[in-house]
Amino acid sequence: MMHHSALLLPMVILPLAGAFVLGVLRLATVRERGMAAHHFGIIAAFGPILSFLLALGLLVQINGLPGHDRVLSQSLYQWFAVGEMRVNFGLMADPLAVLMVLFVTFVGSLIHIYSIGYMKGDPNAGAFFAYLNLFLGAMLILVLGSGPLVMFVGWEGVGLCSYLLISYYNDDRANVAAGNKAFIVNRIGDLGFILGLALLFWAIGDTGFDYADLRERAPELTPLLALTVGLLLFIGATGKSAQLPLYVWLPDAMAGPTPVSALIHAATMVTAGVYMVARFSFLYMQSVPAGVIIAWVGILTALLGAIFGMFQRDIKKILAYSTISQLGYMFVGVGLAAYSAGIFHVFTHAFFKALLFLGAGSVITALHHQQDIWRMGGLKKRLPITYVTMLIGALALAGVPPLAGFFSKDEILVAALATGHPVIWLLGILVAGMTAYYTFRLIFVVFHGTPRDAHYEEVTESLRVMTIPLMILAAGAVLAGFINLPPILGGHQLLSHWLGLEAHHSPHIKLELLTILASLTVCAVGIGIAYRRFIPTAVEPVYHGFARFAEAKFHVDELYDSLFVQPLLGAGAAIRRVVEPRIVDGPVQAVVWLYRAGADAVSAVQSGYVRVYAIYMVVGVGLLSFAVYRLLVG
Amino acid sequence: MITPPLSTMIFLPLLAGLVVLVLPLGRESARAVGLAVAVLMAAFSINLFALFDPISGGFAFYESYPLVPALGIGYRLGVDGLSLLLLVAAGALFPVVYLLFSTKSRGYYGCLLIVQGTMIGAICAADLVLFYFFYELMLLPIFFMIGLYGGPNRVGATLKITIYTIAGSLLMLASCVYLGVVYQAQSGVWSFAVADLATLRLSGTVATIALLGFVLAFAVKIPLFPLHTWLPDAYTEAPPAATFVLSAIMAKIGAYGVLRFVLPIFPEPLGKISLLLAFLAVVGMAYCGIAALGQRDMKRLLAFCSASHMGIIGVGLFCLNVQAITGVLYQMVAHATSVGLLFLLAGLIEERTSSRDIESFGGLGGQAPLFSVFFMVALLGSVGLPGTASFIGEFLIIVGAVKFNLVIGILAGTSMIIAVTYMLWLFGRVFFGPRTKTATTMRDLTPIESLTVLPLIVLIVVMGLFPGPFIDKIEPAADTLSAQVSRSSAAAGAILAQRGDGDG
Repeated sequence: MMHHSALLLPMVILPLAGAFVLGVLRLATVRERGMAAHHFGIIAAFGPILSFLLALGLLVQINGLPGHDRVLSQSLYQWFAVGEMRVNFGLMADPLAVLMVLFVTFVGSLIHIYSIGYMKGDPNAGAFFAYLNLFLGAMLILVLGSGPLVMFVGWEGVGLCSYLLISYYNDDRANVAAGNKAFIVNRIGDLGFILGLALLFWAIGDTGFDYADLRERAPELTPLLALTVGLLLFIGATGKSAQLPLYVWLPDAMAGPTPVSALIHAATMVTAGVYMVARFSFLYMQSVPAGVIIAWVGILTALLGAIFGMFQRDIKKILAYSTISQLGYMFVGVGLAAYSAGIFHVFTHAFFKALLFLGAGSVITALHHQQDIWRMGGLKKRLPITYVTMLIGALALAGVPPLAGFFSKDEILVAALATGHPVIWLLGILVAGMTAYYTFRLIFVVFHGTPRDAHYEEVTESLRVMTIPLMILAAGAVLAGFINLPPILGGHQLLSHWLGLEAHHSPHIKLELLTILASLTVCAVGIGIAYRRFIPTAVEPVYHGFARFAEAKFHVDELYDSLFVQPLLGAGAAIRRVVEPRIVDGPVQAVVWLYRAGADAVSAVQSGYVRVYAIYMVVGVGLLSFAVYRLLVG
Repeated sequence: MITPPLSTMIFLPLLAGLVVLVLPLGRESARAVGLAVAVLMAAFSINLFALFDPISGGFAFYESYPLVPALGIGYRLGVDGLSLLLLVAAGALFPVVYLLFSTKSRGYYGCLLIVQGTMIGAICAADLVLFYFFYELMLLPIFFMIGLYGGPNRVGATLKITIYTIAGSLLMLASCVYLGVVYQAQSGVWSFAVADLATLRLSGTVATIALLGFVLAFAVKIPLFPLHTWLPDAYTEAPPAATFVLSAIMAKIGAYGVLRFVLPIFPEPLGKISLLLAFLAVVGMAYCGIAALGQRDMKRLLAFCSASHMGIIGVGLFCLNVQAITGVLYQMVAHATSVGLLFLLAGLIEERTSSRDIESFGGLGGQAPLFSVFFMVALLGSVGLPGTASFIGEFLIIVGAVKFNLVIGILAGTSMIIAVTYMLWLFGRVFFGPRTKTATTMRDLTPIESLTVLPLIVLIVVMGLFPGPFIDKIEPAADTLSAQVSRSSAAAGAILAQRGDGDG
């Protein structure tokens, strides 16, 4: 039984309307110097804030429903109907979706506010804020869509906004290339997604293509089909959520403005793949192998991201690889059917990673667009608020109790042990140690030691409009973990019960204790190594051997370039230069030549090509008709 | 509504075109006549769309007068779900062409008027001979437009398109004659009426040859790989209005011809080669997409883009199920709005900067912000972003293709990737980056021009978000056609099975 909610549509429409208004205002004022950036920003903040309030309303509404029956929906219209295919366009919210929209609109609102300060004086801020609003609207469609195809509208919509915002500083062609890369790599994933949907439709979709119907009929799927569809959909997730082998676009995406990196490329959009797997839990429950493959892809990506993160020098790239790595953890969770653990990590990660990115943005603006950590140093005295808040974010990311990351990551690792995947668990523990190391490498090199920036003395703390969102997110990074405390730490796993995504099993006291001990140990070791190396002063290292290979990201980009990009471009050029003019066009050229020769011969009496053509046609047609007639009748 | 509506829609532009060609009008008055007719036609088409009742089945607004009674050739016109959207597109999309571009010659406007009348004639024809007549006639004004008002290599382009067309015409004519003869042999009377020909039961080698005659003729027009080589030259050298007409409407009439004549008349022989044809279409889609990636000339890139998209439409044609057929019908109009608009906008760039060389551009976004927003929306429409019309069309085709044959479905899906590669490259190169000297000569759209283009933009989005009202008009016809095709194929299968039993 679904319950109606009138809050869903306005929640989606508000940011979209904001985007439209901003776009029109921007185009109307672009001629005469334009409106001031912060005016655009203030208008832009309305949509997300109002949507957040509506999300709170949704939370109240859904908690008013009986525990076993918490689904709100707003059916809008039949999108299209062709033969047995009927697709509805509607919105739907269960606790999973409500949790997503709550933090998406909350973090989204904070980042809009932060951007008012960050984008100060930018002449194209109108476009920036329009895209940011559009993104939020698309993200809400992705989360609240009543069926997979509606989700896909949001899915590609957020991809479009991501592309537009990565290419935002498009005077630099490298940023344009980064935007193109993001869009194209995501489209590769989306092909998998759409093929998965097509198969799913022909298998069980013809009674309505909503989650509600699909969930009911999922048991009809054969194991092979469930595996195929599950993996095809997951290909889409590897694109959107930057997993192996499609993760390559995310580090380049850091070309966008830093608030975009925080909102889209850390807290919200990139978690869409994890959300998708949790949303399709009914499908993945039909295929354990699909889930195990997802978990393995996740843990290997987590390892790879952590390795790369340890050797980067660009502050945003370190965080980007960290995001890739943390997303890997989330896929371990949802892959091993520990949906609430995976989603819990999505939730906590949104706070501390958005915080770290916004902190990085504060550092970058304070240093006039310096992003190289080896050009920073000693900044804690100059940027005290940024330092303290980023330190909190770093502790949360590194998994120091009682901050948010500790609880959510450990839950995923416990699930890995409980479902019988000790190797995944071991790798997960290893990655936890690496995470602690690269996070504190960043903190120590940037904020401690001696200043390396030439203009160190002129550096001042960011505007209040930027630091207040930092403080709020820091509070979130401290507190977010407590909503799902496990019994071993005196909690009741409130979030897991509320989400109701999986059957509840009794706690594994021993496994939990083991995991906590192991992860605390590696965390301490990781931070300790970072401390030994970079305190009291950090010296820029010169990497050799494996470290150098890792700094160069294993040359995966170059590999993809020579495997896929260059052959395609080469084929395109070859077609233009050789295939079209010489081969495909060859017979035509021959006819043209004959025709020219013939035309020259009759040019004494015939002057126009069209007349030649007409005679040619009449004669030819006549002869041919006669021949056919004779063949058939005569 | 004026009666008879279809004849009016054919002869109003046709006669107006002749008047413009014959009378010594100034070029501005010629343009005014053209625009007035185009607006009237748009009104007629929209009205026709509103009045069309999809449930009744068969031809609506039917007109029939005997032309050559002895051979059963008649002046027969009608509209059904297969032709409705294309007819409305051909009727309603012309005002923007008159508003955006002006030329030195009234002959140009005369040609534009005539091409509209003849295309509508081909779309509405319910008689094979009448269809053939209009189908051939509609290229004549295009020849003149390319040959007289085209770019520097116009003569070569005209020659190429002529050669291909002659080849296609001859094949089709032979097949037409064959159909008439067979009908006479089977029923004892002559008729070329579409409704009569559809009752034919054709099989055997000769039928397959006749089928190939039609397919080849239509494949030239669509165009399907490897018969596409006339297209880049013609699209590039033609003036923007002619390119728009060629890509937005005329290419679709080829695809429409397949739906109108090939599927209903040759279901059985088609069933045997449909996999091969669909595969060729997919190869063409990929080939033209990769070719687009290699182009340096903006219009040539769009030409290959258009051909690549037509490849997807080609796949849909031969999947023979209701989703694919509806997708094709929808995609025809979606493609007309998005890629048609891209050609118009590229025409404006060329007109204003005198350059089509992609490498000569950069930073057009800052130079012409409004223009670039429109270009972006048209681009998103062409790559089939969900929320645009093409997404509905492409999704239906891919779903239909997956049902038809999984490998074809997967290959058809790769168009999603290929399309964004060259489109984003084009957009990034031209609109982003440092502003080049060529780009500074670009003038942004005026408010009037923006309002002219706006309906197309709105259509791209509305047809993406609310496809229901459009699909409801065409889906019953697609359903009937696919049922008819699969019934015939099933019957053929049953016969074959029986024969097999007999042999065994």
